[in-house]
Amino acid sequence: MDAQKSPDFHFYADFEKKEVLDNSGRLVGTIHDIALSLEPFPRATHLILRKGLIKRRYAVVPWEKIERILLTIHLQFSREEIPFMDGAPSFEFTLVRDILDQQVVDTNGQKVIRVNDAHLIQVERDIRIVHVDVGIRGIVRRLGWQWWVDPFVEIFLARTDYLKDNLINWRYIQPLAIHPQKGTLKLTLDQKQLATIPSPDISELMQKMDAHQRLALFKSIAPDWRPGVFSNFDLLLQKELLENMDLKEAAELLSKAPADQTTDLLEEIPKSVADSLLALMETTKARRLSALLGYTSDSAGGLMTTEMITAPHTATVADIVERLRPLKDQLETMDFVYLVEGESRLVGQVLLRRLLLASPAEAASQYAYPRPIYARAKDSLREVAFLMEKYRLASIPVVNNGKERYLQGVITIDDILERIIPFAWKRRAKMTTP
Amino acid sequence: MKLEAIAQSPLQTLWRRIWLFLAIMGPGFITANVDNDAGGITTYTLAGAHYGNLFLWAMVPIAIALTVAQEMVTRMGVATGKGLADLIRENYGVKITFYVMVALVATNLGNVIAEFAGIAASLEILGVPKALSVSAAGLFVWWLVTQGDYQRVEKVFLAACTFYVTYILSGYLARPHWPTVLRDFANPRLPLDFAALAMLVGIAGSTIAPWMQFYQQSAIVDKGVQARDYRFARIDVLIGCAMSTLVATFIIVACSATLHVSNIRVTDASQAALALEPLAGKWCSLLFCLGLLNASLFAASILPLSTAYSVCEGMGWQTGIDRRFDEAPQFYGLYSLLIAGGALAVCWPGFPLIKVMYWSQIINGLLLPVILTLCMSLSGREDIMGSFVNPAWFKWLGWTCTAAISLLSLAMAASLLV
Repeated sequence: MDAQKSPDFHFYADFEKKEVLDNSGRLVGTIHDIALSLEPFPRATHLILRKGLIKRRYAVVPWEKIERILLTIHLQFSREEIPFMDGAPSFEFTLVRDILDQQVVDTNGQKVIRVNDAHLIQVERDIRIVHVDVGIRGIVRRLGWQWWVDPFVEIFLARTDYLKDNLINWRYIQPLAIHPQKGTLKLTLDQKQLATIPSPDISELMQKMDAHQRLALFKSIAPDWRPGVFSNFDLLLQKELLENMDLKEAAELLSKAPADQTTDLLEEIPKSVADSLLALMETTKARRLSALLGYTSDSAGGLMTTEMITAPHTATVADIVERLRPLKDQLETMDFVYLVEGESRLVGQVLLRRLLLASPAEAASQYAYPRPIYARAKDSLREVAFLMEKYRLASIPVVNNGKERYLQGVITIDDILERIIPFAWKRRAKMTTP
Repeated sequence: MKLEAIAQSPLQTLWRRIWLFLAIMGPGFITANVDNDAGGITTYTLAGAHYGNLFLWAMVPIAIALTVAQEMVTRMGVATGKGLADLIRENYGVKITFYVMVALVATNLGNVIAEFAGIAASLEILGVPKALSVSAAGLFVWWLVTQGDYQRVEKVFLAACTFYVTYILSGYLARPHWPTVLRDFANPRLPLDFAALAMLVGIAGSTIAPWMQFYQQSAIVDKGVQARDYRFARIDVLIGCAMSTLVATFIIVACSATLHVSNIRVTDASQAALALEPLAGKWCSLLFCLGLLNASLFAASILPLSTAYSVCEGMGWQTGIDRRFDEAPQFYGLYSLLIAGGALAVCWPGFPLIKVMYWSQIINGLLLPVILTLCMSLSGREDIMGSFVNPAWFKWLGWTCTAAISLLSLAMAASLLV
């Protein structure tokens, strides 16, 4: 019906009802699917036809061989010239198999939604997808009930928004169909657009997908973005993804993820797997991780990460700024530079913000705290939290348990909050429900 | 070195295995227990009371068919990570999904009504008027799932399912003539009288119901059972199905040894309770009513929720009790409607209860073959199932069971319509 009023737009539910005729007007078959190109607004490349009820046979017609699309679809040749085969032909990306009735990601609304119908634009013979329909009206149209539901709603329920189609622009849509060989999503979106979704939201989106789609979506994210996205997932999701990756990929990913998280993760998976992952990782990173794995998870040693900035205690301000440059991607959680004597004996800590105002030639130790404030590796979560609160610190260095103060790592406030919040909620819940 | 050696010791791996099994166990076990709901207990009681041990033999093929159906959906859940409604929608389109969902709602509404009728019947033994018991139960169930701590209460329900053991004990204490029982068990007879045939169909239909496939698969997906832990999920299904049919068998034996021998025609719950007399003596009524109450409440908590989940999943609407009402209106609407409808139907004087149950049974009979056929063809497709695709022997077994159930179900539907 819509097709008659505005010949330039079709809903697939109406489009698929069109008869396909050959050059002398004889029926060829019915539309089974439409093969699409993988581009920002996918274009129809082939028409897949079907005939037979019990034993189905299929044929493929290149889109250029379509003479015209009106109320019926006319082909340029006669039906004897079209070879029908037994199995459904396989194209990389097709409308019915990969989009219709499937779940897709709406990157604008950041939701996983189910496609009820597809909205197509027709320019001459060319057809492209412009919207997906996710509304109830799409379901009604597919059921073939529009002829009685629409008038009914118009008369009795005119104020509902049923009659406004719930369409989402294809620009925001990422299908979740998985490429059989590559194991990634069949990407139609720009990679950058995927990256515009904040990683915590990607992780929430993933909750609505199945495990295969989650993995494929993760693999579709550009390699450089992966560690960042991965570190925002919760432990359960990290574990699931890791278990489904091959060992080399996993090792590469983990060597770029924050050390404290990686340790938590390695503790969760079977020891033999953790060992082989460590073996595959870059050696210095692996050695640090093995050291971290030795601490119990609720002690300062278990909470800390080994990523930090250190400098010799004799360094000048300029030296330190030089050291910061290559670390520009990791600076988010770093507040301090730690001054060490010899290999790693902690002698002072300098707030990075302080160095902003310092002149380059001055000794950095001039700006250090009067004495270093630190936790011991064996200290409990409670003790660490207490220290940080007392001195109002957002991060605190951890030193070894012995007499000397050899710097081992740093605990940042987010690691503490992560552990304390569940406790706090539990206590609150207990207090409110007697 | 030492630590490593301990970690690899057989004892450790045994504990690890047991722990893993306990973590994964649940879906099959819960489904099996809910299977013996008000409708189930009634059907088995009637079968035992009116036909004695005549249908004991049928429990073996029924157990096999049940296991086949439940194992299949478990495998589908593990392989695809999707619910059954999702899979049907994605592979058969919106039309088939819609009609399947309409039928599912219709038959499950019938089941919910049966659960509320069970609640009313059990509490009537204790003298509680049904308007009170049913409306309280309806509110309780609605509150429990949307506001309360269902996870915890589920454990209470499961624990209370030990009630079924009383049938096993009672069946034993009634001192049936065991050689005869065993002979009946190994002696398939198909009576050609119409009422008996309908009874047989009823037993099969109340043991294998469409909601079980949807619930089982969703529960597996929710638990996030991974491919390598599938074997534990399969053991869970096997134990669940075996237990469910074992309990059904003993209900028949107990009723046969008590009610059938003394020629009692069961017309209400207090007569059904007499099956527990050898065990509980004069307390049998109380025991039966508590058991029936638990079974009905348990099923009434699960059925509406599972139905609402499946329908919304298939139609692409938001689901989940962690969402607000305005975020998932269809989900809450359907959920509340099923509970309110079920409770009202029982309370409403003059409601054609029997007629509605009767139609729900017919739809059940028509839906089950459709679901089994869809499951068999979905789980036979390698592009969906990967390495979990049906092996050749399973195809034979599966299609045979599907054909047998279809014949039975269609026969029942036809006989009810005639």
